[in-house]
Amino acid sequence: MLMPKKVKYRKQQRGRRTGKAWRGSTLAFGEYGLKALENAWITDRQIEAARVAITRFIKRSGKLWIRVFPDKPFTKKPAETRMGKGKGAVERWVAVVKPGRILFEMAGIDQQTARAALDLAAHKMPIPTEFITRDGGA
Amino acid sequence: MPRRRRCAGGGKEKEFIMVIEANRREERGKNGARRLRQAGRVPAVLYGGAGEPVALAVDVHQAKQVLRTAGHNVIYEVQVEGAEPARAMLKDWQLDPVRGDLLHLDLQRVAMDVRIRVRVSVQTTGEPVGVKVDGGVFERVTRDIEVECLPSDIPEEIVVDVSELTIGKQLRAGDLPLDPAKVRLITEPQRVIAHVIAPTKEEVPAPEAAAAAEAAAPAEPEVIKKVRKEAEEGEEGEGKGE
Repeated sequence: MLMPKKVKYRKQQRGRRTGKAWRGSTLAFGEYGLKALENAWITDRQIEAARVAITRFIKRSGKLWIRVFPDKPFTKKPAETRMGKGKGAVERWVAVVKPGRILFEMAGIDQQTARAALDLAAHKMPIPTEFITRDGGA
Repeated sequence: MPRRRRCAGGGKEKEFIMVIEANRREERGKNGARRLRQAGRVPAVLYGGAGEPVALAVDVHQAKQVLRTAGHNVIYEVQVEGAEPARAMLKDWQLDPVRGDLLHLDLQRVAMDVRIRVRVSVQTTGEPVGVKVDGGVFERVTRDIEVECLPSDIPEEIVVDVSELTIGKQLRAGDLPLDPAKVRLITEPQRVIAHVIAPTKEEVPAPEAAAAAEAAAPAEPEVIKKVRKEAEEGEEGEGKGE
């Protein structure tokens, strides 16, 4: 699963997800992409599930870029634990995604294949997404 | 949209000068900009050259049409009420990240006799041999290059045939067909424009190997602060020992 190699602090505060993704909201590498339409914490498992779905669909053709990285730890207290006694243990790693963020990019395949592959990936995401192309067509 | 046909180069070569009609914008700030967008206009700014920067408002449909049809490497004639028409280029534009609405335009004045640096799109034609025969993946690494030329000589786009590319071969910026008398390449000639790479193969690890790798992988990332503290403590301990 994706997670940072080194971190400065083991746990983080939750933060807020206001506004739009003013960075990382245009296609930078590929011809086609999957754009987030809502904000969410996307977990390492969801990113990995989407990656596997795409690579299995396109087999050996095409190229894939993952534009989000789960660098935020989220913690959870064990079940049936009384409150207090400090913050819980790190449960998973998530990527903070705001509306407009490009999640995946693809190139080297035709639009129909890219759309089908990214549709599979969209089903692994916890938010609505949109298929976009470099020429502006959706 | 107002479009005017104009002859250049002794009448042999014909060019279109697109006209952008704009009003001066008195209201500034985000509230004013929002009110302007509600009214179907886009805030814009005209700057550069000899004149002072002017805050403008452009009709949103006209601005969208300009972006869709002409693109950014085109000389426009910006007509502002109460001022001389100015020749300008679209320097930058901002879009809403979710809805794609046009938010702002930057127009830069250009002098027709001064060479300028612009980014020109590179388009490829043909299917590379490496893809057709060897099953490689064609990848466009650089989509535009920077060139220096007169505003009237800006190429609309640079089209290059890539059908000869094989796996492992690259098309570089120096290989692009440019007219050296008119256009000078600014991007480094070694910059890769496109290449054909061997297809990647996803290695599915055996269940046992995957389990072993998962067990060997650290469950938590290394904490930088902790490592440094431990190292400092170790040094202090050694110092005391001496």
